[in-house]
Amino acid sequence: MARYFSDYDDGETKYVDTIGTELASLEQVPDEGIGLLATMFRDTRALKGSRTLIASIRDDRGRVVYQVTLTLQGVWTDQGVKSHFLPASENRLHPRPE
Amino acid sequence: MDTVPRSPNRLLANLGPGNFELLSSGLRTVDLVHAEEIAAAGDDLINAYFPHSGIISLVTRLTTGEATEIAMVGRDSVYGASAALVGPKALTTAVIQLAGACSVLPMKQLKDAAEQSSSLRDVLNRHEQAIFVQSQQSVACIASHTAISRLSRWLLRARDTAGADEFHFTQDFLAQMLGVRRNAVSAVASELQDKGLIRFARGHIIIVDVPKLKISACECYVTVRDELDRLKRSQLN
Repeated sequence: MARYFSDYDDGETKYVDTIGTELASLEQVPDEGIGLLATMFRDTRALKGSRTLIASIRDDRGRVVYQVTLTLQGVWTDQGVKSHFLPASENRLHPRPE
Repeated sequence: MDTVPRSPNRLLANLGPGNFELLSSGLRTVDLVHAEEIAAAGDDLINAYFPHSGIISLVTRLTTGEATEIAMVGRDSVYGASAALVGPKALTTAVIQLAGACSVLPMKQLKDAAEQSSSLRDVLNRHEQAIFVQSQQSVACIASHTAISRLSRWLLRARDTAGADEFHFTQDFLAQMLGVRRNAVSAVASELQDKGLIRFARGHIIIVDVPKLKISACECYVTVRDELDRLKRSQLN
């Protein structure tokens, strides 16, 4: 059994683990990182442009032994801009009523 | 009218004199020890538990070891009513989440009393309904709400149930209660701390800003609180 520490950073929320978790084998390390990232991703709501979510797992000597990254890149398509942002007079999808 | 509180447990304290007399001879006080398991799902329940302080968590445990809390029982309620009403088996696993004290009553005595008194049966049914309300809300909450809003909601509910702003919970325990990984609980608790809503260190959590924590919590906190208030009001007899 060895203790591993999970850190998280998404540019807004930064967390440094000081408690750690005992893991039976190194094979469980990716689950720690991915599980943390999955929870934090689920908490992500407003996305302006892009955001990169990073979970890093350290061993008890402080060395990062595993890192998993998820990049969210949200863009409005041309169709989305036309239907939601242009005034109705310039919007062929939703023409102004006569 | 009897105005002297007969028990620190509010359910017992609010019972009519006749119903209380049916139970009082069998009541004895025991300590609730943190993390101790009262019963596993499927066990025959020997006693019913009426907390004075502390919290009993009802959890669903999977074969892989993961456990998720579906309801809390505190000083305003009872654990074990279903065994007295419909059968001896524990429907869920019950774990002591927060240490405290509790009145216990032999299940047979509670069952016999419930068979004698329709008003006592009604009270016990309402408390079982309260557990059902919590568990159905928990399902929706876990499926739809963010970890940070669930942690906020859970802390507020624990505060209401225990009547305290400070708790001793390990993060492993908290993770089990919320159905997320330990490291994720730490990360979202850290976020709440950065916003000034709570303070936490190893195993020790203090709620410092209740109004903001209510804003951070999902709707489930208010839904469950209001429904439990309604059930408790209708329980007074």
